[in-house]
Amino acid sequence: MIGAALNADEMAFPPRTVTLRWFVEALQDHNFKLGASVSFALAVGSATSATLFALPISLALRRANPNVARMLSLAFLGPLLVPTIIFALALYQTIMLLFGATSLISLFIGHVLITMPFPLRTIAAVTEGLDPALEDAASSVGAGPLHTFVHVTLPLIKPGILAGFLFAIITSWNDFSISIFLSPAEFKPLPVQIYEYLLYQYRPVIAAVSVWTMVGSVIVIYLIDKLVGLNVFVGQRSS
Amino acid sequence: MSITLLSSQKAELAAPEKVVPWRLLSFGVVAAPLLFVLVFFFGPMIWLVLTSLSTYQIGSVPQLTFTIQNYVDYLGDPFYLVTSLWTTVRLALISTLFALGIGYVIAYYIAELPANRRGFLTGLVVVSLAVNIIIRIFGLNVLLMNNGLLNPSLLWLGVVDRPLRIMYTETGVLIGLVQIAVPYVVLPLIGVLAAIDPALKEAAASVGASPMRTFWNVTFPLSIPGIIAGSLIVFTLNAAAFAIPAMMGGGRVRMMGMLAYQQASINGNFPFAATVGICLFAMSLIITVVYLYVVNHKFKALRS
Repeated sequence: MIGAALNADEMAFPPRTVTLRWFVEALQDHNFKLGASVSFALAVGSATSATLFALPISLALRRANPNVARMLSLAFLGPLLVPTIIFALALYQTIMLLFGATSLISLFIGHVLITMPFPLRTIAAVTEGLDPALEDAASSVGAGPLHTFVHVTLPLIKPGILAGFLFAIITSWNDFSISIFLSPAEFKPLPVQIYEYLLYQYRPVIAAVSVWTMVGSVIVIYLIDKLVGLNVFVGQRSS
Repeated sequence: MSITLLSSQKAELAAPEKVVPWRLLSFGVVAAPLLFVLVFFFGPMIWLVLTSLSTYQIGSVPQLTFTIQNYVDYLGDPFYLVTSLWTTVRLALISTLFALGIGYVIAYYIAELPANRRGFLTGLVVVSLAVNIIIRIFGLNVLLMNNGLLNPSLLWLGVVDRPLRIMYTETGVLIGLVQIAVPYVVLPLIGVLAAIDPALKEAAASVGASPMRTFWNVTFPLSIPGIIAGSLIVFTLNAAAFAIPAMMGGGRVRMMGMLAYQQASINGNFPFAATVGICLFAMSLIITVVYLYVVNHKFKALRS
């Protein structure tokens, strides 16, 4: 869709002069490179933390009494129920009051919170079908809790962890609401970078940057497809 | 004998010296995320509610006065009611309907394909979801702006004699909302539609039902759960849309998310921004609850 619109001198369609200059320039632009690195690091970092946070919770939910479990899961799914823009506003206000400025840490906190519901749900979906007898069997033959966890529980719930992690990465990578409120001026994620650029000028570089980003997304999705299959994204999960 | 033991007791039997650290650890790994959510999610949300009950003072921290003045200012002002609340509700509802229609057709088409050929198209849908929202809207910008792809083509074809103004109008925002929402409808629906047993459709056809009748009496009712799931996601998402009205509406179409952002970041009026945000949340919650109630009622009526 965008692909066609970038080979012009000025933004115009159909392009008057065709050039690949912008593609090169996009890759050399310091701001965009920085933005892409921030976005990437943020996505991987917050998805990893969110998954690590969600894992013990979803395991604990299984053993907890149903009322407690319902309360807990509601508490953790909260960030999914409240529109992101409102939560972003709330967090921004709190961060400004506590620290006076936004920082990479505040951005990171926001992203962990909005991504956490995804691994929580996917892991919980897998643990529901898990037979507790398997773990009990392991401990009855003398395996310690850690050993049982690493060798029995973890392999069984791996599909859920992976799916949740991927959802978390995509959510963080796509986020705009949290980022625009909470990113510090010197480290802006790519979407904020592009948005602010578009507010002032309308040059083909942006189109080229967009195309590069799309290429990146396609590669990531292709890798996911090869590694776990795209079924993780469709209603039912094949686990 | 060992079956009746609790797992903790068994752990004690297995490794008595490890029990206390393990318990501490398992308590810690549950308590830490919980604390995190309490401090950084529930804390700020409660704070937001309190802020909406505060008085705005230029250049200083809002004074908590437990006033409802902000709500009166927002909900009592016909200007805001029309330009933001009603605009938001209307755009969110219309875009949900369009997204459902378009998404259903796409999902139906993909689900009807043989399983080994679904992958590519599903991949395309997932990719469109994985490309950042800003970039997707920018693509739409390029397409719809005055000298974009659409207008020169329409002029050349003679469909219109002047460029259509789509950008920076409500129509533009609506197109943006629908475009962003479609994948969210398609993905749950593919799952639901593909799970429908083909034997049911064959049975309907074998007793002489036309494809149209089979669809309306067999496929469609069975896909209702997917429709409900998709429409709820899309409605809440679009009601809270912010990037789309910002980019497609050029600040002229003030949906509530947009208004809250403008009030907070440009005017620094946090109490008013918080009020708008909470009204938005309440609005989407009320509509969701009413929708689910009506749907449940309909279902019961159908069954009895």
